[in-house]
Amino acid sequence: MNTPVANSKEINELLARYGVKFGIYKNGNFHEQLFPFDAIPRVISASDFSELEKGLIQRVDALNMFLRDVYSDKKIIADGVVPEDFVYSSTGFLQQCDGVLPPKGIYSHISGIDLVQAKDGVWYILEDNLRIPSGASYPLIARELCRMTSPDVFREAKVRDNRNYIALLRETMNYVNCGGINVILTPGRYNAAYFEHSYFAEKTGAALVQNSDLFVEDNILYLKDYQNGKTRVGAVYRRISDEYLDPLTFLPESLIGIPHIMDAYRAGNVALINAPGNGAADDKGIYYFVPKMIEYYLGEKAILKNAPTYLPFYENDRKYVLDNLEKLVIKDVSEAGGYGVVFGSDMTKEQLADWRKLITEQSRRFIAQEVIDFIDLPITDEQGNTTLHKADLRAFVLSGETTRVWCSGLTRFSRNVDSFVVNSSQGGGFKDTWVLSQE
Amino acid sequence: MKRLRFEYSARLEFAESVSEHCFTLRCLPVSDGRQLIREPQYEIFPLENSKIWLSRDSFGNTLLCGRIPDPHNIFSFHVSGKAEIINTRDISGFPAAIYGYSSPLAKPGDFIRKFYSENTPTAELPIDRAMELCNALYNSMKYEKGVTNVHTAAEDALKLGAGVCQDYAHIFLALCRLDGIRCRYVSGLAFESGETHAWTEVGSGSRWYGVDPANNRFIGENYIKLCHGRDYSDCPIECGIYLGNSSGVQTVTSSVAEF
Repeated sequence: MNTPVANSKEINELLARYGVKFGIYKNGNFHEQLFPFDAIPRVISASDFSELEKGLIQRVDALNMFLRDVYSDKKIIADGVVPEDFVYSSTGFLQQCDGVLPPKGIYSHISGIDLVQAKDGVWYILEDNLRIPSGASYPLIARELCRMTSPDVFREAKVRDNRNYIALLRETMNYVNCGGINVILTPGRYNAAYFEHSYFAEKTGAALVQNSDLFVEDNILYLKDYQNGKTRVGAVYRRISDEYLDPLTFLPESLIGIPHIMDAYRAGNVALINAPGNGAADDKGIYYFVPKMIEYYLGEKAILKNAPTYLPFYENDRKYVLDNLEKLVIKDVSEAGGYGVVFGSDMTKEQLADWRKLITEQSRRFIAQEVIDFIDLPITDEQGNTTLHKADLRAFVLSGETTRVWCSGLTRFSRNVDSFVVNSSQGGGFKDTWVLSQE
Repeated sequence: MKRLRFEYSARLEFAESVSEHCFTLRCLPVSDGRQLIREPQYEIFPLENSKIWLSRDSFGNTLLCGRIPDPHNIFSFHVSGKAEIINTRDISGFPAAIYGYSSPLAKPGDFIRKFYSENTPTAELPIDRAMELCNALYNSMKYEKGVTNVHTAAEDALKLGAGVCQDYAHIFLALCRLDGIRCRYVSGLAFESGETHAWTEVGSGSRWYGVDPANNRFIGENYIKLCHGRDYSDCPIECGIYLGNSSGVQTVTSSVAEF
């Protein structure tokens, strides 16, 4: 399907005006940069999507059950399916959340699951993002603009409408709301994802707030108004990370958090979306165990495959990794956003030796994966030529009364033609994702 | 059994007034198999327009929470009550697995690992092994005030070879965890002195034992536990955040007396 959408230059100019951008760290400095949009959509067939949908719902349901288990009975540890060490020594496991059951028992309300499609058409899960996955607003706003510039395309192409994301998000917030209004908590307009925060607030009718707008009394969260009044808050879609959420529970130096919000949450008086402590399930070390979780909690085989992964923590795996380092990709389990990822094929002899030593010494810290040869997608460059780039797909799965997959997603592509790293924090671009309504 | 009356109070004075002051205090002791708390009382100043309420953290501590929106120069609180202490070494409550994992202030570094390898205990029971470690530590540390602060990590304190009860506790926790023993940090009141004390609880079987590393002994009948966590950073007796330019000057008084 070749550039069916017109005016892609103008669309990019409008996206820039709306503030569709991403923050990246380069050489220790923070830069914001625009998130370039490529008008050629990724197209997913109806049958392909229905398979993805089943697999994603199964996976997210199991991950939610895992979170509920490790923060309560810890049966999966007692039954020896996940080693204790992988839960408790993970930086994502927060003892401050142990024994706390979130409203309706849901931990990951909005899950961003990253997938790639191999050249043979098989989809592989790359990673699960259960903390505050961002990016759904980008294909939403891009589709909105494309509809304006090229209405005919959407009349003819049999693409499923993706505007229901807003309804899904609102329903999710309403379902877990403990009484009171919904708010979206942003660190402020200097945050790279501020566009997304304000866009969702505007579309869902939730109040867009910063920490100083909120306070807690008697374990109830309130929004201040301008007449010294207060309105109770029942659900917070918070876009700040766990460690900054409450200076009296987590990092005392946090200036963007709300004192006592964790007390309100523990008392069951407010829903936090997503629940704090979710890092216990999206740690790169835990990823290895997700297919086992699916079998353990649901008694089913995993529908979607993990990329073949090895844990140097286990002796057999360690041996394989050390013997085959040249062809593997190594990931540091505590890093995110494409950081801490190295390819054996890029290493010199000395580097390979250093890495073998490091992996042997700190076996819990790394995972190793086979490099999947995933498909390239066509991108139109500035000269109007089409080049092929690696691309992944972030699927958004929302868990409320039921678990549902948004029939669209964020397709990200690598900036350089031969690069495998597609994270937006590494400076790539994005595409709309079209799910077809019929074959 | 011993009957004790306890008091704990703190006063924070600010040179310039502060507002939007939120605080969490962990100074309301909880009853367990060793201590029975009666008639706990608390007072907070300033009270006008302030909200005070109770909460509970995931370690099982009672939290005294509050918010003082109005500007103020002085913040003070006073807690008192009675405690019946049963002279028992073991305290009810199953030691959870998380207490076997290292925590920010009790993380072993090269120094602690070396100390452990030179003083690896020989006894069989966890509590006996812990007491061996406690003894080795006591003999190589010097009790000295002012050389460390509340944020000093175990590794740095052992390198220094000196510190206060909190440092002894953190190093001891790091050593026990290297030995596979589950253990936790305790803040509380002890003796008749006007300060708070820090000690530890060591898991052995399905029991906790109170161990005071700074004094190289099991805790006695005049110890009242206020709160616990994996290390100090989980359970400061007092923490707060406010708007304003001045950092307060704090005075703390406490007492434990038989009656």
